[in-house]
Amino acid sequence: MDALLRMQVLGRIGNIIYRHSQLKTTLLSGRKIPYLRLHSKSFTEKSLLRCMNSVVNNDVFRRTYSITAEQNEHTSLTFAFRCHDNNPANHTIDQEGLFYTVPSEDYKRYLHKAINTEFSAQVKVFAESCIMIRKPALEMIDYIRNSDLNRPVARAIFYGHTGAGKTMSLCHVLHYCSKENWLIVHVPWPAKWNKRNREIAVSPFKEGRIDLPLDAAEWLLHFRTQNTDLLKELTCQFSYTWSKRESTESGTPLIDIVDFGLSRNKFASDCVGVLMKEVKKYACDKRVKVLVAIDGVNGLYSQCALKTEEKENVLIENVSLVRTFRKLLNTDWSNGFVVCTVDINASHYSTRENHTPRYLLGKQGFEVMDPFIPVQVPIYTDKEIYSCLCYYSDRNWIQHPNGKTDEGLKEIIFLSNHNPYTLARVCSSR
Amino acid sequence: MAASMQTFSRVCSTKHPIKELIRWQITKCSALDRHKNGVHTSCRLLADVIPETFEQKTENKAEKISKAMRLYMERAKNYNSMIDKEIDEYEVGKRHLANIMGEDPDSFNQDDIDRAIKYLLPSGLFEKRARPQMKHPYEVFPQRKEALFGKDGRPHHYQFYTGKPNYHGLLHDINMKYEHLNATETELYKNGKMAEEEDKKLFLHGFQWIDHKTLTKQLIEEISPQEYNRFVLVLHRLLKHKLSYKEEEFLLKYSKKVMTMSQFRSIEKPLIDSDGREYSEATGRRKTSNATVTVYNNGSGQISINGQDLAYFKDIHQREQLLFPLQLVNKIDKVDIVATVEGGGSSGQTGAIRLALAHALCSFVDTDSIERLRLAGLLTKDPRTRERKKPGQPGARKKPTWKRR
Repeated sequence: MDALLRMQVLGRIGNIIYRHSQLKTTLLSGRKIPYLRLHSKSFTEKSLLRCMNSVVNNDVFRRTYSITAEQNEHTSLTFAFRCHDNNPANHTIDQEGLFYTVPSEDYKRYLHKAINTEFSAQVKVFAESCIMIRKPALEMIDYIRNSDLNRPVARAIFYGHTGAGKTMSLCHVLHYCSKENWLIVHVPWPAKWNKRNREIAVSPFKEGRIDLPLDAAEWLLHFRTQNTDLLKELTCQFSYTWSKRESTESGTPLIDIVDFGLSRNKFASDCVGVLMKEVKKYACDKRVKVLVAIDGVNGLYSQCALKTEEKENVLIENVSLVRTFRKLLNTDWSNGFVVCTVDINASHYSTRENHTPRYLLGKQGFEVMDPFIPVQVPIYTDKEIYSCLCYYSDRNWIQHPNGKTDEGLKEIIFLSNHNPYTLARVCSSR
Repeated sequence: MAASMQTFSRVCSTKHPIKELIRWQITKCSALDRHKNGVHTSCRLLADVIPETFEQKTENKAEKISKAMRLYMERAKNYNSMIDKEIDEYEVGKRHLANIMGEDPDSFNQDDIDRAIKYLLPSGLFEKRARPQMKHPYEVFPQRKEALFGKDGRPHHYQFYTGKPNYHGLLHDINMKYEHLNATETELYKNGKMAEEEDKKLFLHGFQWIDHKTLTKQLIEEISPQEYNRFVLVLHRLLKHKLSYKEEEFLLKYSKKVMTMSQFRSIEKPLIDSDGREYSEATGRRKTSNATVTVYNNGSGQISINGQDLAYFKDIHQREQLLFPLQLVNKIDKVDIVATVEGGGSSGQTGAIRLALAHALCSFVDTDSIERLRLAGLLTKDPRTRERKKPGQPGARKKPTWKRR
């Protein structure tokens, strides 16, 4: 059974155990489980249940996966870690440290591409996407809520150490804005475009400009998924001629431009440019509120490793996608908010000494972004880390019984050094 | 041989028998010489030899033996006088050294001498035995046995002719004691007093028999491993006897107490800094890294390594190494640690910090925990260093491609 399938099966089993609390309590108490008749439509679930019944009544399984009453006493994992309100608009500082579940439609629509591999794997295994409510995200949501949208756009930056939770905070903010029906312009990781293995093309419209057709198309699809309804509503205000035979009249819905870019990769980058121009115009006309979310904005100002066919180095200023999104960072528009993260991994290897925004953005980037609201994303506090461990324990991710005792928890916390990413890695290998 | 016997009996009647024997020997010797030259002669009487040299040769042999005796006695005397001279020199030198160091000459003992020599003649040689030393002559010069036989050539020890009289004498003594105990036992059985002796059985807990080297030193004889094993076997047999308590003193003479290693170390007391916090410092080394660790008692688990926290070590293996001593003594979140480390790579630095941390923690835990740390190997410096590259090879062990021909 390959790894992905195994994870899915485990996730399914975990899901079933979670949903059927009777099963869970009997498992935990170590009692023998009578055959449970559960109404499950799916064939896979039924067969899994049958499998499970035989397995779960097996002594070895029970010994390994149940905590004895004694061990239960020793565990500190008795916190409430779930928030039952799944709307980010209602989250307050009182719910700090709790996990709220992102509904799977929202997850698939907005966050699917936004997150890193670690979290996406976790989502698959746990069969749910839970984000911890933390102070930086709450702060940012507060800024957005209270910002005067008549003024030029405010820029805010999440910064922190690797694995501290910048991207997750950004996702929280994304979810909030999507719920408030903002138009979302989300760039998951612009530093991806600086790598040498990207497929480049010479721009048909501007000399010296470099296009990234496949990346632009990928981004267009992402943009479309996030904002389908709004794009159908809004129409383009100018007409564009792509080539002798292809053109777009003003008044066609923006989604057509997106589809055009998806079908004709050659013009995808320019479609992106056109769309951003339209979006900016609409924002200024107060038609729609726009959230620009860029994860790793310092990737737009760092060194580029692309090379033309003549083996010449490409300057990052000449990459059309980069130019487009750099324009969005300017303060020449209003009725929007720009939330970014600066990530040390988005910079070139030679400039990775510091995680602060000024260093990572470089002179050029800082001049563009300044003034911005810096929001630090710290590593877990004690409360947050215990909440996270409660969650993992609840999801049966910490399977070893010693992992749930006080001593075990201390060990896990020590090894992870309170870093969220390291904690996930440590728990996944124990 | 029969012919020679006849000649002997002919001669015997006239002269002193021993002298005759001596004379006989001489002829034998000369006969053998003749034999070497290829001329076969049976044992000849001295009468064949020129009469003038007869008396000379007999005197020579007796003289030779007594000469040997004399030389031996002289050598022993010389040795003793040499030793006495050395001891005098040593004593005088000791007093001089005390004066140099400005200390009281009368109360200047061996430890003080060692310290003084180390101070005055510092040496960086790795071999401790090659460094300058000043020891008592008894320790420097190998011990010799006293005169083994008297002027008449008769040995003093009754086991002299075994070649290792002390060793065999000791075995004999042990066995005599064993026989004696057997006899005592029989007596007690006869008198019906064996029941009294039931509780008095001797158990030597925490004791080991003295080792090979100590025995050799004690007996001043070369003891082979097999002989040593025999000795232990015999001693053990004596110990196992029911009445061995009667020979307790004798048995203790050949046993030594086994001490746990931790009893050798003294527990360092924690120091107190300006804020009134208890702390202890320790250093550690691994490969080419040096670490200094300060452990503050009553902390909350904060760790600082060269100014950064645990994120200084990116690998989880290194963090696990630091976790090890803390977890063993249950002090993960009870102490604060400040460490500085330099040199080496990540693994070496981790090992150095771990060693220093374990040593520093010893001040804050009880002896049981120290023993556990020691058994876990956390208090021992890892002596492994990078092996040197050898000439003609690409690396330390790697050899050039082997070709069959």
